[in-house]
Amino acid sequence: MSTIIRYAFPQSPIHDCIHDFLHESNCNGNSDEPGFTSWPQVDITENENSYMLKADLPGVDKNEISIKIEKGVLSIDGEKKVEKKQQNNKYYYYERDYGKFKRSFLLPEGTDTEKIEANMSNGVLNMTIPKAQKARPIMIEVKE
Amino acid sequence: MNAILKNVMLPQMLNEIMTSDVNCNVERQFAGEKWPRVDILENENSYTLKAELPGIDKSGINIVVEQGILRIEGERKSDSKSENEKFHHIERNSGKFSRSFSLPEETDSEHIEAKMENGVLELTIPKTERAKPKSIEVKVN
Repeated sequence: MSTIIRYAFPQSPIHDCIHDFLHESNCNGNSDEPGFTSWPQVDITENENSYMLKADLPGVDKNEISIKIEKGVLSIDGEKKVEKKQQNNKYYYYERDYGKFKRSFLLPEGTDTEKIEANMSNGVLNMTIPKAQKARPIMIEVKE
Repeated sequence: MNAILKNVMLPQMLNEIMTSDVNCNVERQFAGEKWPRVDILENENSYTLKAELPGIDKSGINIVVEQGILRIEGERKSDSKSENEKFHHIERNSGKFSRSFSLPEETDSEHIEAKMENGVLELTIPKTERAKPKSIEVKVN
């Protein structure tokens, strides 16, 4: 006879980072990879139907960004190039980040990777990662 | 003589003015984090200031020149839509910002131009005619 049992999340250290939704995937050794950066800065939020990732990429053309999903890891990488006409100028302040960037995040189980959408507006990359139907909460009405 | 002294004493570059604007993001200022990040560069005809302001509409940015000081200020509102949104990572800056720079004397503050593109504010601050380098051709009779 099968029964409904209380579900406990796996507690082993290896599983901790995998079950931490959209945890940065440093735990698979990627942090040593050249080009792994702490920028762009990202916000990741979740609502009932999807996860939302926003990354600040001011001055980066959308053609310079590549988004890849491999083995459940979402990677955003690309390059911010110094504009050619600037190269001969004299610099007083140089605070902006330039060069190659890469950030990777573990996708939680129950995301629909086929339907991820991405768009750029005002220098912000907006991604919507929908939850699979079975991962969405279902409201059950109590009947009288 | 006076002019020479002035040039020695006043640095030509745009210096950041530390503002005691209590309204801007004090926490980040204490952490020593400059926001927005800027590049300032100079060519023969002008200074260019580029500030990274992703996700901010141009109507949310104020640029003021007052007594030789250029101030960029505004606010980035947190864009969470619903109350039942859960947060996993919050790294992006939000709140009020303000940065001020002293303009070098030989700039034409009447003709400063500003444009926003791809989340980058670009200010072009022209130099006065006097400050632009001139080459004088030597004519041979």
